Amino acid sequence: MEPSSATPPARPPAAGQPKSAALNWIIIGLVVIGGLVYLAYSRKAAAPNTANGAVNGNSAAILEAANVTGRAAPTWTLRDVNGKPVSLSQFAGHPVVMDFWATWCGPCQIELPWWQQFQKQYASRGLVIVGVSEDLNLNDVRKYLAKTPIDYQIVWDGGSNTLQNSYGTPFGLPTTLFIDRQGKITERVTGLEGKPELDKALHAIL
Amino acid sequence: MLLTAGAQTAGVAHIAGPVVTARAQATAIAALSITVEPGFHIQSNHPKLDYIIPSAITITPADGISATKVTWPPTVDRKFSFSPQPLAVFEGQIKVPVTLTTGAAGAHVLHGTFRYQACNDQLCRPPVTEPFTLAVHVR
Repeated sequence: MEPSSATPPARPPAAGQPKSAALNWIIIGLVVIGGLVYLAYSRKAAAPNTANGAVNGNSAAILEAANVTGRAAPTWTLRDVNGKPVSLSQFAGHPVVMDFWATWCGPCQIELPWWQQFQKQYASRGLVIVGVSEDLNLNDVRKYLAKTPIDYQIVWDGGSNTLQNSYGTPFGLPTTLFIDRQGKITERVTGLEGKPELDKALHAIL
Repeated sequence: MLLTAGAQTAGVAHIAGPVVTARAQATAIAALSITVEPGFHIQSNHPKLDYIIPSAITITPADGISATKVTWPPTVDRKFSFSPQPLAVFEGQIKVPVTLTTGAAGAHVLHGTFRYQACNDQLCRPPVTEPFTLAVHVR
């Protein structure tokens, strides 16, 4: 009995098949080249001017959701839980991690102790970790921090996701951006990752 | 009483209502249907952990009609990669019976909201408050 299979049996070579195979490859090549040309054009057309992008709660250079890596990180000014203004620009020259999180986000809470550990581990190499809270209510953040102190910088996105959206971050927490010393985003990670993977991404900016 | 819920659009969970008929000055059950997209869950109406945002349905009384009771079904205990303990969640399709007390005969519209916060095993979405309407026809 022949074994059953979802794959049809290979056909015997037909006369003239080499020519048709060559034609197929030419068509595939043309499609690939066309696709690359289209991609290059569309990326150029959609690229925002992020060199002087400023985020101050309501205005921002909006980065494309699917393509933030390699872009200059738009600067921003937000307030910490005590109301003190904090700007990305004050960390110029440092490797920076921006971790978007919320008190209601279970996966985020797994990562918070990791960031604390990384902050200590790489402090001598200038690492700055900023937790950007996406909570709707600042008091929720304050209460959380009173129970679970975090020793790196925490800022509040004003309950509006404005900063998160300006960084092209899709709806989903945690989302982490890795920014090198030149202010360029090297990687964005959405969803709970393993600690070794985050450490690897960190090493790329240290 | 004719009772329908308006269609919902945003988010990973959706709410819809059946057509219900009832008499004036009586009670009626409107079984709302909530559908959660595969892979996601929404939180219990009484979550075990205090940081979790509970699911909630509110219906604003109007024209003498009010929702007197929202009966959430039992939750499912699920273990996730981010939770040491199982969490009480809703998944898939659930029915939420809502007890209404009716008023005078006529066609009425009640406005409600469905608030939820959804996660999957890796990430969470922001809390969503979806408005919906109940078209109520009281005989």
